[in-house]
Amino acid sequence: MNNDSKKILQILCEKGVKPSYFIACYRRNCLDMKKTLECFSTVSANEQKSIFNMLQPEASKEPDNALNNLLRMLKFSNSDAVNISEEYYPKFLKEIYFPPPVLFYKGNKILENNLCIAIVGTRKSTVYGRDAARYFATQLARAGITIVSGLAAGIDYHAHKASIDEKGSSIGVLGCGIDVIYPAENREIYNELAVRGSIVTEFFPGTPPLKNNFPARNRIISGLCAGVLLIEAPEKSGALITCDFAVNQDREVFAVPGSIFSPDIKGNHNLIKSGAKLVQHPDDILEEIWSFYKILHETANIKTPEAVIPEIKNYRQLSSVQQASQEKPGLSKKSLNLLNILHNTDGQQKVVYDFIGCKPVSLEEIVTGTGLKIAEVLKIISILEFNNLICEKNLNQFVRIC
Amino acid sequence: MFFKLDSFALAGIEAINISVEVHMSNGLPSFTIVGLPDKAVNESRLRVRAAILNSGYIFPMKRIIINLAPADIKKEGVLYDLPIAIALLIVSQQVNNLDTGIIAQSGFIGELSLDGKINPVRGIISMAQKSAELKKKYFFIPEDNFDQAAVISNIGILRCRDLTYVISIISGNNLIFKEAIFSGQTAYCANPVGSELYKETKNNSKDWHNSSFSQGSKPDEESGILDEASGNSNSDSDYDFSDIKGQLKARRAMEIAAAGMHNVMLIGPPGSGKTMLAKRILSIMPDLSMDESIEVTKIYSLYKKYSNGLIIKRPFINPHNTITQASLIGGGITPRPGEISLAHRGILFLDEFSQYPQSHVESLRLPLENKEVVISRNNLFYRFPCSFMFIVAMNPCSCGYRGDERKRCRCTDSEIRKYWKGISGPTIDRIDMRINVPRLQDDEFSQIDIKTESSRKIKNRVIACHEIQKDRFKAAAYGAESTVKYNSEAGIKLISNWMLENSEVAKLIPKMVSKYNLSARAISSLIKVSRTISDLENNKNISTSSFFEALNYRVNFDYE
Repeated sequence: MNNDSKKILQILCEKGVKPSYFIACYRRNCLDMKKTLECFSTVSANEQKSIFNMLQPEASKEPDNALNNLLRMLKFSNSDAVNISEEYYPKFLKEIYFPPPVLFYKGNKILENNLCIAIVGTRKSTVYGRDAARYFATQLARAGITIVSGLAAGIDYHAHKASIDEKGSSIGVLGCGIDVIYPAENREIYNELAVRGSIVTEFFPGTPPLKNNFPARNRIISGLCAGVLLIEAPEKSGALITCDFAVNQDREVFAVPGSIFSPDIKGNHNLIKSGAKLVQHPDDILEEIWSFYKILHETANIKTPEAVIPEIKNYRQLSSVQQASQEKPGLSKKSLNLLNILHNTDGQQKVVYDFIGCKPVSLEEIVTGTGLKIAEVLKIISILEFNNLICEKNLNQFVRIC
Repeated sequence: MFFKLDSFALAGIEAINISVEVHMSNGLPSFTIVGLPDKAVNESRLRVRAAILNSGYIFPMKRIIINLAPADIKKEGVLYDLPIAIALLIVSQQVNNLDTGIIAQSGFIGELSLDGKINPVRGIISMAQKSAELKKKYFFIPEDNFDQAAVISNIGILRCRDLTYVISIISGNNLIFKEAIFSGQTAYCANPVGSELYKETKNNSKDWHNSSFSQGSKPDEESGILDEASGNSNSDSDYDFSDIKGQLKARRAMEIAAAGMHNVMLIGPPGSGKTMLAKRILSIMPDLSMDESIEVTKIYSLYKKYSNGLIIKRPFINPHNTITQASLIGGGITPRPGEISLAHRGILFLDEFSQYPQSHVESLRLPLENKEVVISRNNLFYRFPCSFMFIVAMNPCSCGYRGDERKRCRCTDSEIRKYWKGISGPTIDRIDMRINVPRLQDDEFSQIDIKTESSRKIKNRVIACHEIQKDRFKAAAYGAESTVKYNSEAGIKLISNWMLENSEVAKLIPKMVSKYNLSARAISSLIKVSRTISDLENNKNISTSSFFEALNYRVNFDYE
C-alpha cells in the first residue's frame, strides 16, 4: 500500500467523504491523484460540512483512530489495498461509471491484469447448473482466462472450485469486508483463493455482509471482466443484476440455455431473448472477447514480467479447448458406454430410462407409465443415478442429465 | 420372637428380593418399621393393624420391630402390607398348623385394605419373574393381579382374596390351596384403562394366547372376556395403508422399515402425509411375541393403571415437543422409565422433529445405540430397555416447501442452515432410512389409479420377514437366545459377514462412498436395509439390486 492509498483512506474514513464524490473529484482533476488529494487537504473541518454536505454519521465517531484501526485490521487479515491511480488497479474497472477509489485485496493474482470472465448464477443451483459452471470454468481456465465470481454458495462456489482445481487463476469479489468469510461454508475455497487466486472487495474490513452490499459488489464483478457468463438464474436473481451492469458497462453478456420446463433457468432464457449470446461451448465466448485481448495488449503499460499476455500461447490453448470439447459436457465416458449398453438391450432399465425425459417426472408417473413394481423402479432409478444418467430434481422427481 | 418371610422390591423394572423380618418382644407397645421405608410403607402400620383387627385376629400389644432387609435400599409403595401382616400373625402364634414348608418356598406381595381385602399392586410381573428365578415354589399375589403374573412359568401363583384366605392356605387348608393355585403358563390380553392407543385386541394370528387358554383352570368370567376379544379379530384397525393415495416410495419404505425395525425419517412439506404414514405403521407390524410382551408389560406395570393384563399390541408413543428431558429419557429421584422406554418394542414417533430442543435430540443418541437407558441412583443402576423403532417427521426447511414443485421456498440459505443445525449429524446417522415425502399434485388425487394395498397384505409379508430374521439370528447365536432380533440391531460383525456374502456389493461400496460421501455408519445402515429388502424377497444373500434400492432411502439428501 502506498502513501496515496493511505491518504485516500484517511479522507474516506476520517473526513467522511463519500467514495462516489471522491471519484467525481478525481475525474474532475483529470485523473491526477496529487491534485485531488490537495483539493481535499485544503478544506478545513468546519468547511467540510457545508461543502461536501455528506458527512457519514458513523465514520466520524473516532476520526483519529479510524485510519489506524483500519490499517491494523488490514495487516491482521494479511491483505492490502490498491488505489485507482496505481497501474496495478484492474484496468477494466477504472473505466466503469463508479469505480471504488480504493480496492482491498488478498492474494496476488489481481496484479496480473489478466483477461477475466465472470461466471454468475443462483445460489440455489441444480445439478445442471453445477455441471455447466464446472464445465465452463474448467475450459476457460484452461484457455488462460481468469474466472471472476462472487464467492457465494451455488454457482459461484462451483466456478471458483473448478478453476482452482484446473490450476487457473480466479478472483472472488466480496460483498463484505475482506476479513469476513460469508457464507461460512465457503471457508475452504476462501482460503484457497487467498493463496492461489485473489479476493477483492471495496468494503472496509469488518463490514458485515449487508443486503445492500451485493448489488454494489455485482458492479465490480462485471467491471473487472470482459464478459459475464450467466449459468443459471430463475426469473428474479442477483445474477441478473450483474448482467444489467455488464450491459451498462459495455461488456459482453453470455447465457447458457436450459430446459424450457424448468423455472430455475427462466432468467437465462429471458436474457437470451433480450439479446445475450447463447453459449454452448467455451469457444462461443472466446471468439467474442478477442477484441478485449487486443485492447488489453495495446494499452498495456504493465511492468511486471509475468503479466505480459502471450498471444500465441493463448492461440494454442484455444485449439486445445476445441479438441477437448468433442465430448458431451457433464457426461463421462463411462456413462456414455452405459448409455450405449442401455440402448442395445431392451431390459427394464431401458424402459425406465426412456420414460424419464428432459421434463421431470414423478415416481408415481414412472410406476403407472411403465407398469413396473415400485421396488423395481426404485432399484433401476438408483442404478441410473449412480451411473450419472439421471438425477433427482425436486422431491422424488427425476430428469435426464443429458 | 422372630419370624421372617420373603417379599420383593422394585428397582426400575427389575425386582429385588427383600426379606421382611419381624421381631416381637415385651416392653412398651410400639410398632416400628425400619429399612428405609417411604411414607407409603410407613403407613402400612395403620393398614395392617386395622386389617388384622377386622379379619377377626388380635393385634399383639407388644414391642414390634419390622425390618426390611437389605436395609440400605429404599422401599417404596404398598407392597409389604401382606407380608407384614402374615409375619405378625405367625409371630403372635395366631396361625394354627403353620405349614413352614410353604412359607419358606414362597414370596408375598399385596396391599391390604382396612377390611382385610388384598388390593392389586404395580410391577407384579417383574416380581413373579424374579421369584421364578429364585426357584421359589409359590407366589402369593392379590387376586386382581393374576392376569399379569400368570404368564410367568415355573411358579405356582396363589391368588389371594383377603387375609383370612391367605392364613387358611398357609395353615394347610388343602381345599382352598387347590382353589387358589395356578401353575403353568397362560396369557391373555386386557385393555389398559385410559389408553386410546391400545385398541381392543383384535388379533388371533398368534396362537399363544388362544391355545394356552386350555392349559390351566381358569375362572369362567375370564374366558368370557377372551372370547369377546378374539371375536372381534376380523375387524380392521382404524388406520390402514389403503387410506394412503400415491406416496409409493414412502409406502414401500415403511414396509421395509417395519420388516427390519429400521429407524425412519420422513421429510416433506406440510400436508404431504408424513404423520398419516407414521400412524399407520402399527397396522403392518406383527403383534408382540410372548417374550416381548412380558418385557413391555414389565415396563408398563410400573404404572398403576396398567396393573392388569398383558400388552400384546406394540406401543405407539407420540410425545409432544414440549416434553421434558427426564420424561423423554427417564429419570426422577426414584427413576421412572421415560417415553422412550414406554415405546420399547414399539414405535417412538417424534412429529415435527425440528421443534424438539437440541438437548433432547442429542440425548437420544445413546439410547438409540445401546437400546437401553441406565440411570444410577443410590448405589443402584436402574436399567430401562428401550429398543424401539424411531420414526421422525419433519419439514425440509422452516417454511416447509423446500424442494416442492409448486410452491417456492421462501427461506434463505442461512435460515435453512440454521434449521438443520438443530438436528445433529450423529443423530441423523443413526436413522437408517430417510424418505422424501413430496406433496401430491392437486390433480394427482384423481389421476393416480394405482390400487393401494391394504395393511393386512403388507403385514403378512412383514411377519414372514420377521420369521426369517428370527431363524437367522438364532443360527448366528448357535441356537441360543440371541440379543439381536431384527436386522436393524445387527452389530458390526454380522454386517461385515453380510457384506462378504455378495462380492459385487463389496466392490460397489468404495464407489458409493466417493460418489455420495457416505460415512461408515451410513454404509452399515445401507447394508442393514438391503439385508431386509433381500429378506422380503426371500433371498439368502444380499442381492445387488437390493443394495441399489436401499440407496434410495439414504441419499438425495443435500440439506446439510
